[in-house]
Amino acid sequence: MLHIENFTKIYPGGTKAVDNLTLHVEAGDLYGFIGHNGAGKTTTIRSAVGILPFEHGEITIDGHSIKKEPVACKKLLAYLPDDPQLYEALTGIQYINFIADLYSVSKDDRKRRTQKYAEMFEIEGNLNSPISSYSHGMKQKIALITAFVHEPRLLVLDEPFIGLDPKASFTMKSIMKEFCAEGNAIFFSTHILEVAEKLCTKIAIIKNGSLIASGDTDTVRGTQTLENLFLELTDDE
Amino acid sequence: MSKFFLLVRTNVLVLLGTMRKNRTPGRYILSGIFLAFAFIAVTLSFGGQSFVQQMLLRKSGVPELGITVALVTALSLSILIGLMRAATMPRSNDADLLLSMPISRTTVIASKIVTQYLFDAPFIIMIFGSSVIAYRVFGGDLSALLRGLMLTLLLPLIPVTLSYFLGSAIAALSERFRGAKLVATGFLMLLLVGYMFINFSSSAMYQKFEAISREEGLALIHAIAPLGWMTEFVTTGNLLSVALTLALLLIPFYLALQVYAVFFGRQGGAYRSKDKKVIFGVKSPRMALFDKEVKRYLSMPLYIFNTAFGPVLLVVFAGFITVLGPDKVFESMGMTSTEMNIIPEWVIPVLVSVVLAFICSMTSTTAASISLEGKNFWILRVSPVTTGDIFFGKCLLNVVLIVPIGILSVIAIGLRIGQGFPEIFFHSIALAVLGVMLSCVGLIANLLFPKLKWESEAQVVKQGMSVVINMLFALILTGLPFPLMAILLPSAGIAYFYAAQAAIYGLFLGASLLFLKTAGKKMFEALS
Repeated sequence: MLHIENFTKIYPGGTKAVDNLTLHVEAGDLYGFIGHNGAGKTTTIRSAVGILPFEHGEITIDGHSIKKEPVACKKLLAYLPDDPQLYEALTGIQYINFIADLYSVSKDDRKRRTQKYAEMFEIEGNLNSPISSYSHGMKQKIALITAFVHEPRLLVLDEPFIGLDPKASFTMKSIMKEFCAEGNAIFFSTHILEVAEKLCTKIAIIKNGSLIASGDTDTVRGTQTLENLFLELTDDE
Repeated sequence: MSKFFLLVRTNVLVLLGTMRKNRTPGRYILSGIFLAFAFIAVTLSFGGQSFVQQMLLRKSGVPELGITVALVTALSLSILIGLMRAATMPRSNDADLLLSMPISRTTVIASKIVTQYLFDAPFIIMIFGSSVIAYRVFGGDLSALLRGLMLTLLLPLIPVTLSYFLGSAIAALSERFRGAKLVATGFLMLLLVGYMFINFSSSAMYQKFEAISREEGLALIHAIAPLGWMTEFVTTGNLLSVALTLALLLIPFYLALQVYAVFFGRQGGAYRSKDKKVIFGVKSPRMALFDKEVKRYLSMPLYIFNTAFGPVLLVVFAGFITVLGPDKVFESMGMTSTEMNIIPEWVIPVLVSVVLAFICSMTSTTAASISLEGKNFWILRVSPVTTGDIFFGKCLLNVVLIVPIGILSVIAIGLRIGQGFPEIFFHSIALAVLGVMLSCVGLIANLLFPKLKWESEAQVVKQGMSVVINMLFALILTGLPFPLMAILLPSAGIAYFYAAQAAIYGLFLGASLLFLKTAGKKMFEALS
């Protein structure tokens, strides 16, 4: 589904944020991406969804290159940043309609999906209010609805649980599991190791721009807890 | 250092910091030098003007009129600054931080006011101060100088008062009604048009210095009562004028502060709808992008303020010519009927075309539209739309704002000045092509000077390099066909001139489109 091959990202000024990273997310995978602050998680994610240009390596989604066929790739994915900044001038429903229009979602489909997810996230009463009046969590919920409104095959999420209340967090986890069980895939970064340990079928650990471990969660973790493994692998001493 | 001065210093440093952000030291220093030059040039210009004016008025026996004239200019600028600033007040990004600190609310608010005063004051002080000094140099007494300097320091309170009153009113309405911001922006625009009209009429009235009698001069000074009070405040210092001037400036200022204090720290724009019925509409991706541009445009008073002058002026200009006739325009420019009779026939259509084209060149929403995406830019980058679709949405807003009104103006004026179908047709085409071309040029300027990281939209809409550069290029490109009139008009008709004008704008448009499709696309895709 998402294939990242020998991906290297060098920022202007020469800082190498990610170095020769190779990672494969397949259909059905719920793939957690773990690393300390500044390890290169967000850079990888932003490059994978077509926000950041990159020079070395290749990223493909369902066989389409994000460099050469960005529109084809973007039709298959949905991305949610850690701090979803939305168009504050629009109301929640206007924003959902806007995104649905960009993905050419039919009226019936957008209506059905919006109602389903708005109800799940308990935000159906706020859809006519401007986004400028929303709390961080409400913006996160609207962004999540728009992520699902066009039924993507791949969901790329950067710290998706930040700002969500406990109930929304629980709902989110259920949705994520259900989504992957239907043959789709999720690639997400997180700092919450307990969530990654319980939720993910696969994990990857990145340190200073290089991948230091990846694979099935149980295999990577072995007999340790994910927290212990992470501390052991990322400890500079 | 007291907390008050510490806050003022921090406010100033924050502003300088935002100007410095993303600039190399060389560019920062260059901008500083440019600003200093501009300031010195304006000071010399106003200073010189005040001294010449004072000399002339001394000869006429009404030196006081010099103070009144300077007051008119300073007040005009104050009102303009106040109205423009009201569009972005009273949001304060650091309100929560400051109010959570062990500093009194009064100190925080006072520091904000003083900072705004410091930024608004220099030009107002320069305009009025130079006149007060000229008045003293040519024979005014020392007490007049002192009172004049006092009034010079008080005048910058006007933009503070205006912006706090109007800005707070907009914020209060926005919390209660959806669309209140748009209504308020419309109201501010009306105020601004009214201000322009009054300013235009009054400046003509206050410029008759030569051969003015003392009686006429005094009548002019007292034609508008508050101007008379303020002039007397400086020149005679009589008790009534002092009391009235101070009351006029200080009471509204005090009330505005009270209003601002209430709003400071309140979360603005928190209107919430109780309507639970949601509407699902379907649009094509391109129209969805255009619709988003329109909604964002209408939600930003400052954006409207800086770009809606063109359409408003087109309506005013077309209305003026259509209702009163072109002769009245020349008359208002000070032309006599004898002079009007010797003007060649082609002058009016060409002048109309020049004015319409330059008014169109004042409107560019595209010069800031990519930068305005700011933190929302990721949405466009991850959406399955082409760069061309995004450019289309942005350009269409500009075209819709200017082209239909432009064409209607051409038709109305054309019919009024007796033009035939070919003239009106080619002139309409020229203006339509110009509108589209200017939209593309604005977009190119923004691609060349993008600024996605900003704290307030003013940094993009008002101070953005792309906006300044675009203004310059739009003027040059708009003006380029007009030298053609010297070659074409003596032999060919005006319709040929309009057709040639359209063809030249068409060439520029073609070049702009080619740039956007090639280099522009790459530049956009490299943004992050």
